[in-house]
Amino acid sequence: MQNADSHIRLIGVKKSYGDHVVLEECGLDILPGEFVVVVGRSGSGKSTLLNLIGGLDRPTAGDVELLGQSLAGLSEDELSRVRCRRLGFVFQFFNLIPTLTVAENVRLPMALNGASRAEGIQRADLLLGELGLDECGSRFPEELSGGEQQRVAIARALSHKPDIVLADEPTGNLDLETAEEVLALLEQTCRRHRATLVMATHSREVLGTADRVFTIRAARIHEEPP
Amino acid sequence: MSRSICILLIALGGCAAPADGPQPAQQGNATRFLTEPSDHEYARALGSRAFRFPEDHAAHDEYRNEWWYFTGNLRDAGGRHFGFELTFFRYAMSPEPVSRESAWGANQAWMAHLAITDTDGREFMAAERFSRQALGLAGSQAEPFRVWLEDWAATGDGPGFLPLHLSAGTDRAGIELTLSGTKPMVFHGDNGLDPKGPEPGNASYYYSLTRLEAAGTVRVADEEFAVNGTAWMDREWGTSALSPNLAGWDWFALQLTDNREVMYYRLRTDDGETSPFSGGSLLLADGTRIALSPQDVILTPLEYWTSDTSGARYPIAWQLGLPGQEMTLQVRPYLQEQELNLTVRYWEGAVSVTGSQRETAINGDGYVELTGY
Amino acid sequence: MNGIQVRSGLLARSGLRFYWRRPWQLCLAVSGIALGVAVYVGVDLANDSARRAFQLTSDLVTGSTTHHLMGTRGEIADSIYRTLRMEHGPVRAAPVIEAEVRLSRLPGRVLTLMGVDPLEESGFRGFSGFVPGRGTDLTRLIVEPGAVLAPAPLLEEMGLELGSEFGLLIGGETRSVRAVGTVLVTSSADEGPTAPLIADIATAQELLGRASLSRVDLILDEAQAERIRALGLPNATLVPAEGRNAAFDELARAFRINLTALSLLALLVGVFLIYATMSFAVVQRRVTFGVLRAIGVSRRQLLTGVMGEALVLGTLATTAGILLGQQLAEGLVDLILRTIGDLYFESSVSAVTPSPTIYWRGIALGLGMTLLAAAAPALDAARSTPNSAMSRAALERSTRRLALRATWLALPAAAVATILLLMSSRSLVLAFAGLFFVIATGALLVPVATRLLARLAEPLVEWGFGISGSLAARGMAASLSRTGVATAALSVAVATVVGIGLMIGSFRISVEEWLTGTLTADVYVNIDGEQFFDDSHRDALSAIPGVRGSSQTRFVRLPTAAGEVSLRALDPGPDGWGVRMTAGSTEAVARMESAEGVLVSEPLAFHRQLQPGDDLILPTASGEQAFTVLGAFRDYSSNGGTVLMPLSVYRSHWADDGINGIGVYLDDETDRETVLGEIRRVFGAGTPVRFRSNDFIRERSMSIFDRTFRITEVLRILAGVVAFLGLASAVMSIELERGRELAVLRALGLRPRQVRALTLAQTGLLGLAAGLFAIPLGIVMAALLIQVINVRSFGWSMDLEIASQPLALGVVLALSAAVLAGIYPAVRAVRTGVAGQLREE
Repeated sequence: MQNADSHIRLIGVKKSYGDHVVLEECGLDILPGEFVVVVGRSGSGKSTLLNLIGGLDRPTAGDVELLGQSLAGLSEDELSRVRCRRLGFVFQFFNLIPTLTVAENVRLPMALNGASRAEGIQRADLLLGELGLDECGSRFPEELSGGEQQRVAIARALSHKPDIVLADEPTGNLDLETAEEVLALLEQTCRRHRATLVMATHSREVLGTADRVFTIRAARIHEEPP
Repeated sequence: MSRSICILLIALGGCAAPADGPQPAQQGNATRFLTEPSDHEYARALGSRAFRFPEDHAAHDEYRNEWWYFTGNLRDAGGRHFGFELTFFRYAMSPEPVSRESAWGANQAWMAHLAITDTDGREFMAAERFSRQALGLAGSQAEPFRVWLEDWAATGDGPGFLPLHLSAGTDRAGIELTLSGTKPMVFHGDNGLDPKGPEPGNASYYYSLTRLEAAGTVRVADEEFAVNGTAWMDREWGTSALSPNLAGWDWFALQLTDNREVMYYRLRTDDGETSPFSGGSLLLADGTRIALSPQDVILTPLEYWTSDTSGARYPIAWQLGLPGQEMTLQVRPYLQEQELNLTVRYWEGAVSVTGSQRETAINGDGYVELTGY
Repeated sequence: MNGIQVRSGLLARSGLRFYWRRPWQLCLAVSGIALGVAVYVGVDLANDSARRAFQLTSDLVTGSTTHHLMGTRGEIADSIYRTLRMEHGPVRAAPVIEAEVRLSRLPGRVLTLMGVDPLEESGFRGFSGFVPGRGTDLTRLIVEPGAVLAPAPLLEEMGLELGSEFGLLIGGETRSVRAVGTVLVTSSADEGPTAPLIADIATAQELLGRASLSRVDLILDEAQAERIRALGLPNATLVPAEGRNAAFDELARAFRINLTALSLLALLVGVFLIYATMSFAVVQRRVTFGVLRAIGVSRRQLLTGVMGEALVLGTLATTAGILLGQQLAEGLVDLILRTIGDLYFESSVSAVTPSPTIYWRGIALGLGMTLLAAAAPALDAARSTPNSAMSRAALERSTRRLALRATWLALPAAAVATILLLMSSRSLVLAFAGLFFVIATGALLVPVATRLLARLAEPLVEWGFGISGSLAARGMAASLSRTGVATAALSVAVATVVGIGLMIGSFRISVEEWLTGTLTADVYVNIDGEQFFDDSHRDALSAIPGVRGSSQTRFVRLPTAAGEVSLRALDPGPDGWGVRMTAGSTEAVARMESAEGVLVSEPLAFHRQLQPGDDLILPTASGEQAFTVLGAFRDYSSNGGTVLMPLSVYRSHWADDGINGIGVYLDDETDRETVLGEIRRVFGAGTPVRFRSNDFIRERSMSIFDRTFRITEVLRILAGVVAFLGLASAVMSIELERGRELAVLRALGLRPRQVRALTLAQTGLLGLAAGLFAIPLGIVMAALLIQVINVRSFGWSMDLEIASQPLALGVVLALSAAVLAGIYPAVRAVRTGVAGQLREE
């Protein structure tokens, strides 16, 4: 299973909150461009796993490596830099910045990476176009439907050309039809931009298109046979 | 013990609750001058006295306190009832007269109270005045008799003490009355020497005119009423102090329609008991005096009234029993609200009397004074 | 029925849990409201105590006196007093003798000897109220010749104890008096007003060797006053009490106006603080309310729930605030009393019990504003459909609409303010009401101005702070529901601090200029009491080498039917009259010199509504006479009113050659000390003469001025500090609520440093906005205080000087409050785990 080119590698990761063990002895190797789905019941530890991968949380034991770099020794500032450059997030609750327009939301990660305004605008236009939101750039997030908002979130997650996109229950807040649409878009867009996609979900709808599927059961991670 | 000394002594803070008006600093301040306690330098009522009139009607400056106290019940032709109280207090600020260049120099201070009760109008008016005995602002003289504080005065109409003209008023009410005598002068205590406590010299000279016919006018709110009625005068002077354990007193001056009078004062101690120095007189129609000791009198409060102004609760209706005489009297105020909320606060008001003696009905009027509540 | 109760119970629990989960929010809400109540109650309590202290102190001098009976020659015969009491009673009258005396032990000290009748004082000066516990014995005061009540510090200064004898210099003789009691503590200032020596009226007559009174103080209603006027008592004029003790009244009044303005400030700060705090606590939960509405909670239940919660919070906070306010007041009272003691008399009123209405007002403010602040957003949430209630966007949209509506409301508010101010030509109440509406107008404009400023500032802050700056500017403009009221609150508080600062500064400059203009001579020589200089002194002075000229002044007080006026008859020195005209033509001074009329001080012109050309009636030696008013001049020395005329005119009408003051003008080159020695020699050692240099008077006046306003300064700073704390807490809670938004940004890779910068930029912008808006508002307030309030209060005008320091102070105050408030949320945003914050909703 060891692969030198792993985009994401978890080594003996354990996460507990006090006595409550959420994850234990987790090992994982995800290759570039893979579309990985993590399934499990609510509260099984999917979000925790994604947070650990995203450096939003630190493991109790073990290590997380992103693109060959260990997160264990990184400061908060360095973690921010990793997120800023390498990662894109799609949240269940969209989490768009309400005070920024749609286009600005999409530009935000690029701006954080020091991209120029013109460059940002151009790429935002491109991404919004790809996601079918051409007309929405100057509107504010709250003026959009849930599905549209999540599409904006996808655009935002990809705008700075991240290596990895982490999606935590991206369809949890959407109706079935919209959910399918958003999932398809997310997958396609990630594949098009060659980003590794790790998605946590409790629905099994997406399993068909995933490269690999992991299940979390009793705090341990299991890979399901293809 | 007569009431008047206690009025002064309230001022001393000796027997009354402190004046608790809105401005304590001002209430009571004018009488603070009454607080000099050097009794021994003043003349004292030590032995019986050969009273001399008219001289004794005027002030005795060598004694510390002195007063002329007039109360009475009046009615107009239609039976409308009025009560009045007019009092002149003198207080010596030094035992000896002072010799001063200034015309303002004085060692005598005066206070006067005027209270008028308009029973039908349900109005009670009280006012006070102060002055030093200088520039002719206040003073007394024997012949012709006169005691005055500014334009409030009791003036002998003729060469004698009686008939006596009372004149006093404020913006709200006033009296113009002529008093004439019908019964002889009464000397209380031991021929006019009335002890106030166990110590020698703690006594006063005390005489009364218990039945005076009053005629004249009462003015209430710019309306004048021609009135007739019965008045009472107390005269007292001395240098006494009230025992420190006394809380106040209830004083009764009752004039019965059968030409008898009852005067009784009950001194209350701090724990609500009757002091053995309480006492009084029952005066028969012919002027004979029967002394009353605390054992002769049973006093029972019948009704209480709480003042809106001061918050004090006064027993304003009483049953007064004289078992030795087989006499029981009910004493009820003409008006509940007869509290004088002045520099010195007390309740003094006109009362009506009903009752019986050996199955014979008794009626009358009177005045009651309640202090220390 | 039961169902409703269950649901209400759950509602209450939801509210409780909200605060349980966010203890800081509870803390900030309670402390915000509590501070608002505390600052109002504290300042008002302190002011009330000060007002009463003043009342008591002022009672000492004038008391409840409504009128004075004054002699046309400064004396009232004993017999007039007797007639008044004996024949024209009932009347409340107290005799008074006042004279200036000197102490043989401290010959430089001038004291007032006040003779009174202690028996008649009850209800007048209430000075007996100062007696308890001070060893005073009124009996001895009346009976013992030479007995006086002396100010305690004076005895201390002379090294004397109660019962000691000391000498008074009266008319060149030494008379011995004995201190039988103390009545007051006095200022140790050698020129300032000092507490009088009090004696019985008989003693005073004997000491002064007179058989008359200075005046009779009366407490009269208008009918009685009319009756006494009609008596036509010989050589006596009935004068209204107001304005007689001009020097005292004017300072006391200045002080009171000051305190009133400060109470107003505290009230404003309190109102805004509470509103900002509570409306935020409710606004924040709109989503919850939307959900509750969605699951079937009725509007009424929702409102009841929110108001119940506000009631609980309000009660808790108001109680805390009142307790806090009491603590605050204790410190303040001490300070205020010390100021009064410095300036006037120290009185025994440290334990003043304030009127309970203040507490009721504090409770009304705390609970009322809490409920009101909660009601507005709760009503809004209840009124909207459940769906839109959940939407933050809908809220911001409606807030933006509200901000716009507030802007339109500013128009009528400004109109009301204008009308009130125009109508208030003589009414202080209307003027204050107008001021209030001006402030309201300003506050209503703040939200729109905030948006505008945010939009204007965005490119700038983006340039300066990058994306964080831009986010900050956007955040401020977009979350008006949270920032609007807070900014308005901060602006008003800061504007008030700025406005009062500007007013005091302007006043000070005007007084300084006036002193410079008025004090033209180098040395002033005055004589006290009934003694006078004559022309020979002037001739002797002129003969001294180095003296280039002199002026002569006769200063008298004249009783007039409308109150006492001060008459200054001047024979000016080489530098002219030294008056600055505020009304009348430029030739007014020249016309006065040619005996065409008189000049009046600005307050006199205001109070008596005198225009140039009007007549002023003054009692002269030959009866009442009309003088033409030629103009008004600036005069801060008294608000009672001064009339200026040439000495020659005075002499011809009053047949009085006396001079009380001489101004000496020196050559620039002369040696001052030598000349001063020569001048002193002219007057000899025996004459009770005071020499004061121009500089001394100026410094002394300015130090009195500064001391008068020291308390204002302190209270202003205090109000600023509390506004600072309260608003910091409001801003802090706004930032803390942004935790989730910041967590998202951190997930997107915003670095800790950037998060901190964003938070600080956001609060800093808010503070800057408030500070900037406070500048015009503060200037308008200062202008109103100067042009309207002061004129209505005192009748004097001053020039508005816009000094940069109070303005800068205001901006710094607002900015630092806001930035400081951002520090904790900034640190907290970085410390807490992003994962946890993201999950929270």
